[in-house]
Amino acid sequence: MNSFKKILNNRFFFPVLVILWGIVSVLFFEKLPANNGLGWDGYRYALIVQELLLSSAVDNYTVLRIFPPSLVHSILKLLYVEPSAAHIINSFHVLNTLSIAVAAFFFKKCLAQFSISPENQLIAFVLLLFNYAIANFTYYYPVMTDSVAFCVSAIMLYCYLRKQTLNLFLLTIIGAFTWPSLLLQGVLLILFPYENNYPVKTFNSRIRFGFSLFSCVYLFVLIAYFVFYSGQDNEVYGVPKIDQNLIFTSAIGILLLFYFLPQLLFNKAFYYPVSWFTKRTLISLVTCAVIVVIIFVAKDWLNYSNRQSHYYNLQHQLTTSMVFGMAKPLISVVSHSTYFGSLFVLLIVLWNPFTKEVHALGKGWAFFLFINLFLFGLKTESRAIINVVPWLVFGLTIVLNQKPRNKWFSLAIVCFNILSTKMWLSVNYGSANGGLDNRGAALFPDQGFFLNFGNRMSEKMWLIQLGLTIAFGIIIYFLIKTNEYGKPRKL
Amino acid sequence: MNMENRENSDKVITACLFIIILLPVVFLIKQRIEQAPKIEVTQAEKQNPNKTAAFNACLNQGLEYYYAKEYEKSIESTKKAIALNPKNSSAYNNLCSAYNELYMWEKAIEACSLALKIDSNFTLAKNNLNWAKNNLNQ
Repeated sequence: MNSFKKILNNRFFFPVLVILWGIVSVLFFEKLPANNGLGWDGYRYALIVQELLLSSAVDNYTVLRIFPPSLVHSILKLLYVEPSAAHIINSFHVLNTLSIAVAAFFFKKCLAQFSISPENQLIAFVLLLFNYAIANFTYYYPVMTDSVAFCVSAIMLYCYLRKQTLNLFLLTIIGAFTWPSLLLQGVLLILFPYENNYPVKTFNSRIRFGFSLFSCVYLFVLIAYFVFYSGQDNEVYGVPKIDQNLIFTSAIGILLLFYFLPQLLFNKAFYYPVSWFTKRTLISLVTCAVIVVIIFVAKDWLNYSNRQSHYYNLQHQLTTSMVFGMAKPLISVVSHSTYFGSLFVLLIVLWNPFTKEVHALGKGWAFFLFINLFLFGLKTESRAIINVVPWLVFGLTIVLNQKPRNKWFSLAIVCFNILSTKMWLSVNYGSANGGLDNRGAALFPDQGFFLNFGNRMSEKMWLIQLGLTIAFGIIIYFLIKTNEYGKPRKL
Repeated sequence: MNMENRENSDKVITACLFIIILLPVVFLIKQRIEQAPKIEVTQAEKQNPNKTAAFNACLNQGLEYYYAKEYEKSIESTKKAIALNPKNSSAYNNLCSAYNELYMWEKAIEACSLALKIDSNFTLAKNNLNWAKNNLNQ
């Protein structure tokens, strides 16, 4: 047992495990066949790898994803390797595996800084890595920027906790050209640096209610405008439209989520003027201004032909969030659980202690989590929030570390995550044209791939996965509340 | 000692990040400067900005349809783009990709051949052409 703990404590254990998993996945697991294995977004990135700025795929949105394909381009050039589709796919396999391994390395260092027990470290790594997003999708559909974004975010976590402003500055620049929301994340983390033992003083109930009410009103206005007034709906092939029979249930579901979300901001100490007007804040403000100027100048300079994309539009992002999030009741939660495993169910069940931990970790952390989840949390293509996952897992691990362990609790998490990886499911995408169901979602075999994305999930798969998520939630709740998990450990 | 180690590791991270940033940045800047004449809008395009905008719109529309798997609409839009600028290799390559998705190998070969006539180093067009040729032979 002690030798197992020793292995767990080794900082290279998880990175090596990731590399081994990467090799096995690349050699033996299924690959997306669409577009010679490049996929759809991947096709654009492949064009950038081949031609960089001369590529027709460069526009004002893809330019904000240009870092990973440019890195692959430069490495292939240095190695005199022709950028064929096969070479590009292999390069992204290597890049993704290394990115996840590096993320694991830095995440482990963060856990060590907070003296997390080896058992809880294991749970943290199961939550972080053993889910569909990291263990499966990364290798099934490699030509993407998700893993690099995940890695940048994990290193940001490390640099934030170590108060390394220069490294955060560099990571924000890399992040802004990898995953657009990393710019916002980096700026907030630089602006509000980490402070040890941040004071925690909760608001009174009236102010707390005011925050929650504001959040719900904001969401209600958006739903009323986009869904009920403008009547916007999905017009994309393979994406089901809003289920009109369940529209009110869907609205109540997301309003409920938004009622509890502002709890992240309920620390009175965040708003003390003395904590805002300091010399350090001024320096951080100047640093952030420099980053934003660099990024916007570089963005326009790189997108020389001034091609515009409708993705580069906050209204478009909000509309799709709203419309996709309203498609079915709790579709966002189902989608996040399908994509990231137990993490989101645990967050819902442990939301109170989690937010209290976030309050103690400082303004930067709380504001960045809130804004990301507020703007993109409803997106049913759960990939959109991959950058917040290391932060959520870390906060949750601190909560778990303060409670006595229970083997059934750990087992439930491991089982749900094994289920969510879908390693046991043969995707066989595109082997036959399964057609669409009556709501417009692709049927099996293609549904084998699309069941992992809330916006493309069929009705049947939504129902099954909703059932599994609720069942897991109930099990976890009772394990925490009524079983020995909640009892103090025997001395 | 610990503090010193920590500072050293911070410096190592900073150095690695600098290298990782510099690598693609050098290539991007090099290409942006070297290809400036190609990249800048040509005289003809300058005189006819509406036509360029229309070409870009059609090409992008074609790509959007392609990503939405509406390949016939993608072909229609890309053909409109080609009518506006018949000397753009990417447009022919996109047309070829859409034909490939519809298993129309001969038309795909024709489109990619035209792309390669304009730009003989266009690797993706070469790949698409090979893909279509291999499938036609099967």
